Amino acid sequence: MAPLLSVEGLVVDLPVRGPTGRTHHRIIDGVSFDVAPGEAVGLVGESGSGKSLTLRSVVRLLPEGAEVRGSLRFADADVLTMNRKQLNALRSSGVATIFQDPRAAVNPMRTVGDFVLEGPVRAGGRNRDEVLREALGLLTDVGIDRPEQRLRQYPHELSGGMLQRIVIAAAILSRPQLLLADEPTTALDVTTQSDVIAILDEQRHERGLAMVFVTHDLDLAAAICDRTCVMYAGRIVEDQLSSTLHDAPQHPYTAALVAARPVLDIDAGCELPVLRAIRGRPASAYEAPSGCPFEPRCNHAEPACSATRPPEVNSGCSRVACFRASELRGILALEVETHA
Amino acid sequence: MPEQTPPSAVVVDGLERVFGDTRAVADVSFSVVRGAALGIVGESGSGKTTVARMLMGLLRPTSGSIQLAGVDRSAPPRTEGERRERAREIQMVFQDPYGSLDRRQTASAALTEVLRLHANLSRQQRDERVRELGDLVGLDKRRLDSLPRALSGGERQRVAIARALATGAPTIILDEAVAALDVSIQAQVLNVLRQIREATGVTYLLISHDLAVVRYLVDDVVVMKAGAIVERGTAAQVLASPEHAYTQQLRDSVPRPNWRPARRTREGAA
Amino acid sequence: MTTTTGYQAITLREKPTVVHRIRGLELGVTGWIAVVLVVVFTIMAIAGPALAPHDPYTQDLLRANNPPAPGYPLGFDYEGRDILSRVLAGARTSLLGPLLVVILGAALATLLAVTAAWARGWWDASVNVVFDFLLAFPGLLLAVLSVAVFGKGLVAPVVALAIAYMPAMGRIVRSGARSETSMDYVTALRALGVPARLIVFRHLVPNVTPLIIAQATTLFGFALLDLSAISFLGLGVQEPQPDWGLMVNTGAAGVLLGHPAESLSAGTCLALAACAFTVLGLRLSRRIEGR
Repeated sequence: MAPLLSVEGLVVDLPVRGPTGRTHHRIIDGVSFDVAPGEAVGLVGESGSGKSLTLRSVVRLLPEGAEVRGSLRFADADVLTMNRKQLNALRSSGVATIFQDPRAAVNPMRTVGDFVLEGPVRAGGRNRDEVLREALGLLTDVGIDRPEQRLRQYPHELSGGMLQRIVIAAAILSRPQLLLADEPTTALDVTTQSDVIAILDEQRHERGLAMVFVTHDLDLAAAICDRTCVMYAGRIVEDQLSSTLHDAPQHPYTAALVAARPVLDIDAGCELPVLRAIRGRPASAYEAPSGCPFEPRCNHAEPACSATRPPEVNSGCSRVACFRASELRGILALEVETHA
Repeated sequence: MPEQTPPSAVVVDGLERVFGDTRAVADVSFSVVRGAALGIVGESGSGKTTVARMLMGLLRPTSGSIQLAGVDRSAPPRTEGERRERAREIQMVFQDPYGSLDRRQTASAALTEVLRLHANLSRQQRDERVRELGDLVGLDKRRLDSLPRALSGGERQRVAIARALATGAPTIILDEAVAALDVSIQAQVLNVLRQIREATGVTYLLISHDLAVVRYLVDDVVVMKAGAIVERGTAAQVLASPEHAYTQQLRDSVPRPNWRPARRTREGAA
Repeated sequence: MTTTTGYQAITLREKPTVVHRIRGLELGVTGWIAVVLVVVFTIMAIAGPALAPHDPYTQDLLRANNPPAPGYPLGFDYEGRDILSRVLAGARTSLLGPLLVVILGAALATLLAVTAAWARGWWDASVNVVFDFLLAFPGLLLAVLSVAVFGKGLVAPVVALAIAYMPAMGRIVRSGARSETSMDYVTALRALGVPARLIVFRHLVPNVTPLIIAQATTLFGFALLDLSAISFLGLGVQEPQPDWGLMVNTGAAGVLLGHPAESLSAGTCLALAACAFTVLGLRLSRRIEGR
């Protein structure tokens, strides 16, 4: 099947105002991934990994002065060469985006109803009443009670969790083929998070919605995405089926991420093990050394790792960028064993 | 009570706080033995942060009592002297590593300021103590001499922890203190927190929504919902086999492999 | 290549030199012209009298209102004094006044605004009322009134303008200080038992200082114009002291005789200095807001 979204060799440099004047910092350094229709792909990483920027690149929501290279194709159209009109069409109908803070997405001066209905009505094809009827049904679907009343309210009258559900409903209402979600549940309570995830899950299965889900939470991505891409320093270091990622990580960074999280399910009598912290701090692409970007923090690094950049190696339905991936497989599985 | 029980660090009894017509905290009671660690688990609006602010003396309880190390501290301190005294009894580490340090003050200057206030030390002894505190939280000289903007989130939290320890307070409230950190950094700080507890016998009150973090750091937990405690017990027992429906729900909401979240019944559906 | 330069930029950020700091301000071309002018005027104010080729006070009525002559590139004023020397020497009196205005105004504004933001309650409310009241009162009018009451000279208008300008700075400082006090570090300092006066003066004031400097720089330009207007009206600095506002006035005779050099040179200096300080102040404010 032809991919719905195809990202190839994406490189993004952002302008920075440094002490020595204007320079560019590389944030994304050669990211490639495909999303098939109806597929959910997770982009996981720590701060500076470039996960959010990758997502924003897809709809070209980039800061002024950003330099983008590579190829971005959505439904066989080249996103990078689109003019403003085509881009607006892409954003209003083909691809919907939701962000961490729902309040940033809505206009505080206008009612929730204006926000929900405006996009689909303007996108054309349907009149306001038709859209309204669908919106009310959808809001009920995402667990909003008294939807008619909610639509007349202003954003500040609603809680963050409710507003985020409304933003999601509005995103779905425009019948996108692809949903881009940037940490949509990070600011929410865990119980609300599980609601929101359940809604997204339903939409995916009922409507065949494809999704790119950005998060710092490996478990969350693994739980709701078919495939998970782990990003480090502006690159994808591992791309694997979510079902096997947790138990059989192939990149030392993925294994380290899993092992660094405290575990909830541990027997009462057990002495809690000291967490296997990753030394140092996450690096951005422009700070990373010229060899493997993870090499300074890696427990399995060899001299060769700092010499050249490890290429991405495909095997079956996974891909990993580590020189020692094949020999480390067993060791890494052992590292994450207590977390299984 | 058996004689061997160590003295209590914090005793809270019937604590209540009303804002307007909402009861943010309703009849909350718990006690923490010196050197132990208590987790306060809950979501936003559960009243857990209000409890912390009352313990810190930043907010006056509507009713109920607070005892710190056996002394009644129900009312917020009124004079500078009382505030200084309270500061030596209990401290707090905030969630946001970016807002809790003065951006114009280096880490060592922040520590020195606190030591000058709370410890009668010579200049040399003070510098020595700053280095010791730095060692305890894993900050070297170069990091100590940096401004907050040159430090990562995890390093800033370490400064905040060291600063709390500098007053000599035996009890520290950790208010979502690792929630804003990257996973790899979070592990470092959690380990540091455990080491400190082992090395100094400090008492922790961990306020968190992250059950795994709570499980890792504390002995006992109370679960709060809408201002009241709904369940309490040892961390191992409450988190592994919760009895209250709400605790159960919290547990079920934690993402894990093969997790299929079910939607709650629709809010207020008739 | 990008990687290396990027890396250097990051390491440099920890200990920026003065050059890096100034470059980091990103003032733009206009901003830089303003900086150059401000530097030039500052040098004039410090060294102006020493730079003057002739004594600015020596009168020679025989060459009154004479056109330029060798060694006297701007000619002579109505009392036959060297205009160039008076413009240079006048920089000090002309710029000293506004400097005193903004220093006094900023000090008052900071004291009131930061304590108000810290204490809240009735003190905050009273400070606000004072600010609102003064804001409604035109500065120049206040200055003229104070001259009427306290007599001519520099002191009365400087004090009056400082008070009149205080609320403009005070409001901005107050809102800046207010957002500071809502930050966790201030709560942390309270919990750490740090005395209120130390929190206010050691933490809050330094953190709002950039705001104060930017605002004071802008107001410097306004104060310069207001004080010059007062001098022009003959209510401020008195003859024979050289002062730009005064010179614009005394040069009027020359304008009628076809020698506009005095009014023109003093007026140009005034206009340039006022623009330079205002532009620089606005640029600095914009930079701070952008942070």
